[in-house]
Amino acid sequence: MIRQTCAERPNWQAKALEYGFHFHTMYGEPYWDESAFYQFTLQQIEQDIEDPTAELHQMCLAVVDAVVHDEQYLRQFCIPESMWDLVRDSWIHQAPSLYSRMDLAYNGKGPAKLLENNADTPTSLYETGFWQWLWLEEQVQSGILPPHTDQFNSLQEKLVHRFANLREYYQMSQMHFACCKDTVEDRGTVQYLQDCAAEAGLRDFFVFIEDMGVSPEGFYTDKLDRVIEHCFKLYPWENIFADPFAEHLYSSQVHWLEPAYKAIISNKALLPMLWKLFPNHPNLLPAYFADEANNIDTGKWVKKPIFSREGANISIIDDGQTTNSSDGPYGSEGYIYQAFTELAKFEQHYTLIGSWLVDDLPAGLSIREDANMITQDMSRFIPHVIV
Amino acid sequence: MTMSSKSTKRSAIQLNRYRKVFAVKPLAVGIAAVLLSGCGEEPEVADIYRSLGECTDNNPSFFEQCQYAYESAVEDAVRTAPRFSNERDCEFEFGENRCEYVRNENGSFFMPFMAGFMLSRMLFQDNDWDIDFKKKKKKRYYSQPLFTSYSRRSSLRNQWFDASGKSFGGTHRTATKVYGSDFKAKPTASRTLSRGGFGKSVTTRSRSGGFGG
Repeated sequence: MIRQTCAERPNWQAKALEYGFHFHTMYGEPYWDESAFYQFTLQQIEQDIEDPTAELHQMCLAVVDAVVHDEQYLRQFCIPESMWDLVRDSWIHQAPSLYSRMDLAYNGKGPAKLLENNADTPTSLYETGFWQWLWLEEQVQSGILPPHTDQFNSLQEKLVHRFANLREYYQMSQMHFACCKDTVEDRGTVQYLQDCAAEAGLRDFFVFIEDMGVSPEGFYTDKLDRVIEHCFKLYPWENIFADPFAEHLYSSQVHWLEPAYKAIISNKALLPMLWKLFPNHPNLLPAYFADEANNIDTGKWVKKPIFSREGANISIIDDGQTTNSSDGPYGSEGYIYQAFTELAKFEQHYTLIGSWLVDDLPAGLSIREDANMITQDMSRFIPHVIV
Repeated sequence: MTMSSKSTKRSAIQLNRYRKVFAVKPLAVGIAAVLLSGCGEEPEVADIYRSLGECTDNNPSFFEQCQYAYESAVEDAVRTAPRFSNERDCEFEFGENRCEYVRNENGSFFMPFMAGFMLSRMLFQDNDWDIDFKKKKKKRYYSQPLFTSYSRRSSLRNQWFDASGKSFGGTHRTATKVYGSDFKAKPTASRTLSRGGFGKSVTTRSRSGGFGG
């Protein structure tokens, strides 16, 4: 694993416009950065990323199975009691899932360590599945990169295939897609999934989360009063549970992507549960619930809120002292502690690996770089290659 | 590069085929006025937007189409809207302060403000290509201006209607009639009782406003 600098494609901004990549620069800061790339060996990808990702996913499913059958765990995961049946049923009926992204600490040597699992609302999907693919395709064509250069990236292909499977599974011809208003990044992610679904022969309808309605029968409706039967939502389950419309979740009978049991996997309480079920697993870091953490006064720990997104409200604790923290709106729901591990550092950049799955299949890799140890939503996306 | 080696870790994306859904081509297709006769052909969904912004918010990848549809509707509005020789008559039909004075090569008159525009979704909802891509029918965008009346004396009060006075339902609608066959599996909800019950718990937005992790 090495970091290489590289000539940018001269016309990439125009290309981005052409292909609908509208958020390559956010708030005046570059988000997509192709002045460098990361290079892996095939062995690093297959042994250190791909295989552990598949295994970690199965371990997460084992956590779901343990949690849905235990009220004490459901409470520790902050799942409202009225929603226990919804979460449990989605697991017992094996409701299909679409995708997830695990964040891994990995520097090219030794086992990758799971930092967290974005299994409910992962973004940076389009950049990973299509845009970095296009970057490689064009850099090879123009001779900047050698012809045999590869990339760990079958994301788009697998997504389209998965939508085709789902179409068969539910015998459906159409699907709704939803996200919140006023976020160009989320809207772009959802549009990409709509396009993948359309590629699989589905009709796709978009509705903003805030515009959803409920009919007299207790079905959810879109802005045109169409009943929502199948819905992809880029909106966290913990928010759905907290919204007034949660009372119609049972009557609505919606087939959701992601299914409700993802509320367990995307939850930071996953981390201490994994450590409980699979202690000392090479791809795990020691982790504890706040009330079970007796040993955090010494050593270096990371304190994470149960519901945090995009690196918000995370602090690093060194021998009992908070040394580094990030702002944000989370934390009222409780915390977990996870052993600190150094992110890979190349020059002044901290590097975080995103390892993607479609259903239970490893499907690709994305890399984020940040000048800070806590990778947040404004970190830059850097492409990668396999040589 | 693509598909050649079995050991490749990469997708084989057919760029020229697949990209069509992302790539926004210059509008060679053109925008035509909608010819919605009451009978014949398959029913289609046409979206109704009150503003250019509403259209681009809903279809961020189709910014140019929205802009073109909007501009074309504005042009058509001036050409086809009902005309009145004085403001009072126009306001009688359309409501107070709902009319504008226009002076162009065709003379001077009062006409109602355009209240919105209609854009057919045919291009967004194209399913023919995956059966036989090469025989894909040519799709076109259709747009036309819509008006509404705020006058209590008008039978078209709070209705969307086109320049000929044909109604497309109440102004709460954001599209014209939808497919009946979409609802086979479940009874169609006749109406929506309430909206906005989702999104309420969102006090917890990160800096970019999104939820990605």
